[in-house]
Amino acid sequence: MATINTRPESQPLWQRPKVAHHFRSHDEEFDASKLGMWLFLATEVLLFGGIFLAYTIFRYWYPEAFRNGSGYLSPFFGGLNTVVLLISSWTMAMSIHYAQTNQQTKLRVFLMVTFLAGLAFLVIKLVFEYIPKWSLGKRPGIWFNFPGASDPHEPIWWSIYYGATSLHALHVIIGMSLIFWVFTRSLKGMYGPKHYTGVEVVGLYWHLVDLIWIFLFPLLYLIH
Amino acid sequence: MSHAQAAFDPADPHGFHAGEEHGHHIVSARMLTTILLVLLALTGLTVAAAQVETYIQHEMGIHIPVWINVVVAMSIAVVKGALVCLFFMQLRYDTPINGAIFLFCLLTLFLFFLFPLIDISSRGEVDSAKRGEIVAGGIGGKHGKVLPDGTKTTLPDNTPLYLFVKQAYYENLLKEGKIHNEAEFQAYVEEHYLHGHGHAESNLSTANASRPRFGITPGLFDATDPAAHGAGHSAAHGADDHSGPADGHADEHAEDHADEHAESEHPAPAPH
Repeated sequence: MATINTRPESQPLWQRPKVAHHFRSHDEEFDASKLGMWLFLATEVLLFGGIFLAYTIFRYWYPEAFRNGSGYLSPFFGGLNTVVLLISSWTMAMSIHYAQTNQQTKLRVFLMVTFLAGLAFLVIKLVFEYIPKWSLGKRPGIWFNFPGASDPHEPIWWSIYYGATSLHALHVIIGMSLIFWVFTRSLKGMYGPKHYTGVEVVGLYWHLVDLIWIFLFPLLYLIH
Repeated sequence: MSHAQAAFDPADPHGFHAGEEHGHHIVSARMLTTILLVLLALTGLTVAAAQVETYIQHEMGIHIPVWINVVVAMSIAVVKGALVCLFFMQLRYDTPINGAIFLFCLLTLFLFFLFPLIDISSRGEVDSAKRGEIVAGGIGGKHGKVLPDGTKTTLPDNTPLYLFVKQAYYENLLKEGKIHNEAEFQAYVEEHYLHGHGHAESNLSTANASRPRFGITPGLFDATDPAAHGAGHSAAHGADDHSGPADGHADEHAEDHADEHAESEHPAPAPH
């Protein structure tokens, strides 16, 4: 019931939290924040659901184009990115664990590792996937210019591929920005046992990014 | 941290929440690491499964249906997703409302997939009740159009669905006073329902088939774009596998179409 801040200045920031006046307690605020985040994640799932549905319909209509298109992707780099994202999800969950157990240094280190893993994901995606493919003419829709194409519907495959992965990459960038923000707040000592709403909520978002990729990876890279 | 021992809490004057700081479940580091290792193992499994399927298909010559590929990959993905949700996102230890939101979202997603998939997987069956013939690529929802093979689409007037709709249409027009007898109905249908506006767009994309005509790769879309045969076909076709006798044949057809299109754009006025 810490609406009235009576803690002395010497205490770490997380021990004198500011609770919005319309909440009765910090716990209520924590639960409400998480509830709001889950509602937002539900809309995110539906957003990606549209892309997954487009994928399903076009694969149903043009299986050959999707088989060819998937053949151009490298399961190695796709799998590597999956491993990178899974590890970053783990470091995110671990930083929540360290916030809960008040291990401030490990909290900061694991948040930073999560941020760097997100960066590694983007670099692998850009350097080993987007740039080589785009320069060879494997582009979406009207930009398609790949002389080796054997199915006239391959531009549709690339539209789905770039649409899904770039929207996912946008989420990675947003997630990384949020993690960096949480990291800077953790440097000020704003997170501790029972007071880690920011880490928890950003963590939920980051896990969703991972969750989406868990489904994108086999659907895009492992078709035959 | 607990303020439960406070005699009076101005934020909770009735004591609804006094001492009710619920537990924040702490998932142990050991548990989280185990989940990560399981997730990595499942990633390896799904990649290995795809490669085994490819190996069986190409080296042993045994055809594996596409649905096996999809079911194996999606089953592993669902298990991985469930692990992430339950342990990393802590739904297992959370208040039930968060899990309920997520499940309801998945139900919505299921419905979102269900109806379009029913649509695209059953178009052939619906068409057989709706029309007398199924036209590859669809006819864009209108009748009286010129198809790529030169024929004109017609309304079949013997299917139960068509008769029902026609009867309802007839009665409705009678009620509105727009027609007064069978002959006027025929004229009304000719004018308002069977009109083609002189269009002949059967080469364009329809609800049933996308016919891409964009892109700068020479010859890539000729196979599916009849219009390309008629105009600018002399462009470089060095990389075109389809060049040869088949192309000449297609050219003849394209010219035939061009003639028919020209005719269909100036139809004889229908008697009213």
